Amino acid sequence: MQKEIERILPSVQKPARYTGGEYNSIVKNPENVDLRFAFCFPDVYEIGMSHLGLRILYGLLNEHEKTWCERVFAPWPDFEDKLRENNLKLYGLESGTPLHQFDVVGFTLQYEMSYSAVLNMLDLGGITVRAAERGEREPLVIAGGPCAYNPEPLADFIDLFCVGEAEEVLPRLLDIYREYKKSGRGKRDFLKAACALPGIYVPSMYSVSYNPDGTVKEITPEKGAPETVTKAVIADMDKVYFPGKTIVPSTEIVHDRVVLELFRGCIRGCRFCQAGFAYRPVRSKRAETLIRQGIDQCRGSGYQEVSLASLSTSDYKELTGLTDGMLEWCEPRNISLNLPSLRADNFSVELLERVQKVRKSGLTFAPEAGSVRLRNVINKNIDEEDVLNACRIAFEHGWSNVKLYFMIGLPTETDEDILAIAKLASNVLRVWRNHAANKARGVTITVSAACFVPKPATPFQWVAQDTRDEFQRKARLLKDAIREKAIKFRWHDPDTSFLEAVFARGDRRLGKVIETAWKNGARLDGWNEFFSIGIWEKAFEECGGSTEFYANRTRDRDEIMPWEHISTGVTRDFLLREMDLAYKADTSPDCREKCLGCGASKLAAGGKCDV
Amino acid sequence: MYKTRILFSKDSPASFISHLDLMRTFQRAVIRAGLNVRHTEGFNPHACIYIAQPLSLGYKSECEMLDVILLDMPDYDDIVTCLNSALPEGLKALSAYQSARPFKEIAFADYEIKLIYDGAFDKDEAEIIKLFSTPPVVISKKSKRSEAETDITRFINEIHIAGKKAGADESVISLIARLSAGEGSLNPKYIIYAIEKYLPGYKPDFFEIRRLSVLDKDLKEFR
Repeated sequence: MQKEIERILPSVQKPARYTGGEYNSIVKNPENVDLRFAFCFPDVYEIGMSHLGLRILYGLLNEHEKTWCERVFAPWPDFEDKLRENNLKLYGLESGTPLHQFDVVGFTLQYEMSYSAVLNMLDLGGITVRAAERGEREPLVIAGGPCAYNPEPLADFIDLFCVGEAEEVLPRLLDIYREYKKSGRGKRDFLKAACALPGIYVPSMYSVSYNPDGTVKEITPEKGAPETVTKAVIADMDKVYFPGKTIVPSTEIVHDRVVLELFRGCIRGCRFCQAGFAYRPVRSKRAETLIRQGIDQCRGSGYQEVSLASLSTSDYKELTGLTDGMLEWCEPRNISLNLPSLRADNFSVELLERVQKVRKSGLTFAPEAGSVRLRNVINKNIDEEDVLNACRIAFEHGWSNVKLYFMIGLPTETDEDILAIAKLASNVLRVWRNHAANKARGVTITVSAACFVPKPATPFQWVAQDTRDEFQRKARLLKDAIREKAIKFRWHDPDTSFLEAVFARGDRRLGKVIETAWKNGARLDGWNEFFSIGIWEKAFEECGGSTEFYANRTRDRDEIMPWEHISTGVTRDFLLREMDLAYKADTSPDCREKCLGCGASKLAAGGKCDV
Repeated sequence: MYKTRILFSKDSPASFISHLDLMRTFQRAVIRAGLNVRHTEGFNPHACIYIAQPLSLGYKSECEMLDVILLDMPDYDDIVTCLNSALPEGLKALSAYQSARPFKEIAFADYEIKLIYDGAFDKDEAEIIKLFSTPPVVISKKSKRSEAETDITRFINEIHIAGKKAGADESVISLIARLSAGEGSLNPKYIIYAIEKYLPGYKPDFFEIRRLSVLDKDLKEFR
């Protein structure tokens, strides 16, 4: 560690975030590598280290003998101030090398509210923020993750986006980079070659023109750049790389455990859910693969908790085999198994008991909407009976803590739909009164309401978000309708959701706004203590953009979206079809029941989804 | 059940692992090392680890100790080898042995306190020793419950200069202090605070603290 850094550390909070040296972190001799990669997570260590994608790509890139991948996280402001005061640069945790000395700097974009942190990290690392002004000798700056499905707001800052799953394409990209580095040819030449790879999008090779009303008129690729960039997908989930040894942080992080990814994609098609469409086609890992990987990671890490991750865990076909196999190994070793995100409809006693055997934490259900009608609109096909039945089973088995997740501001929502949320929560409480195993313990039912954010690549990409005033009104309405003491109401502030809506469906003209907001002090916008809507409102004023244009406007069916040239494989026609069904409150069957021809199967091995 | 004590050192960068995080780190390390240790009861069982004398964040040490209960007959040399392959950078197991004495018998600890000055520093270091040999030296000292003006010399068993290195870029004065530990202990940072208060000209630009050894009330090394 640098002497200067060591001097700063005693005066900052949680210094273990900035030291590196964790078990299983990878240190190579810089003399023996020819490519230095900085994996940047634009949020703090505890959040970034909880992210499975980082752990996968970190392990994968370091498998290559000549590549050294290090980690970089956004510093907490106290550490940032100290870095700036002492004229020090943000550095890779493994080697302490300043960011600007890396070959490639790669950001993962998990949520829109991290955009200011991307700019701040570049700047703290001594890298020119705007791609067009960045020197030939400065690092190549790339980005991926779910926000890359509409990369446009960051187009001014990122040289190249990896759209989709990076495990196969990223090593290929780096091999091409190596050749260009050796040959001494310029960045421009490299970018031209790179855009031939699947899922690689070079924003500077596309020009965008606008109509007088501000909407996109045309997106024109330069010669050699593909008209449509289709996301990269992994064909075989059983063969794709998964780390056997994963970093064990020396300080507590948010999700401090082994995480197994059961499958990618989702059969459900909830119309608000970007991941549900963007991660199609469905591809699973086999239970035996998962058990092997789970055991490997537990052994290699000493973690005593395993969590199963996917978009809808109870839809995993081999769930019984997997949980049996894992528990058989875990139980004698005091290792617990977590099953998150259970759907209420195929919730079963058996499954519940499986989890209970090792641990009884709170249960979470996400009906998303209060009324059947509105659940039909969003295609969240669960009945109230399913939710109540699941809660009954949970209460009978001693659970006394249930969380219910909802969204407010969904398309076609009326006040009756809002009030139905309160009614549903009351009904859950009634079920507890009638069925609780142990009433003396009391019960907590938490109703959480998030503000709906229309996302690109979903059937709701055309719809207007509610105004902030409307969100406030609806939240008050709901709050007043919840009268029972045992029901707690929490809701997400609309300012953040509003900005998310602006950037989720924004275009590249927003780059100016992000840069201005960052210069005016926007940093860790995902953190309430630092988020300031005022900074962003002022930035929009200075840059002359209208936020309503992006968030609160109903888009025309034929409007060219800023991300029109990026494809998740799911067709625009399918999304429109789903939107029309939504407005008729008609549901669609899940992929297992019937294929709806969304288009994603073309990306699957043999053209067939693994539903 | 074999109550086993492990002697270990804590150096950079592990010196920035807090006491609580250190427990967690060892809980996982013993599992990686393949040690069969006793676990707590309940829904979230974890390895029982008892660490003696919490070390402040940023301090280094040559003499940290922890106790675990092994369920298998221990091979002490093997434990050290396995543990060292399972520990993060900066933590090193030095020896393992059957533990007999309770941690509460620890009465003193020796610390190396390095006062680091940017650039040349030519003041007489003997002044520092003089300060601590003429009571009272009163500093506002925090205990668990309160904060009170305290004469810290009564916690200082012995203090001397171990060395001085004067350079154009950096000068270092090394002190060795034997301070009360266990009940009524003195954190070595108060030595620095006292220097800052009574000898402002000796205020270091940076300091480094390393615990060298722990002793019982008879000043014999505690193991």
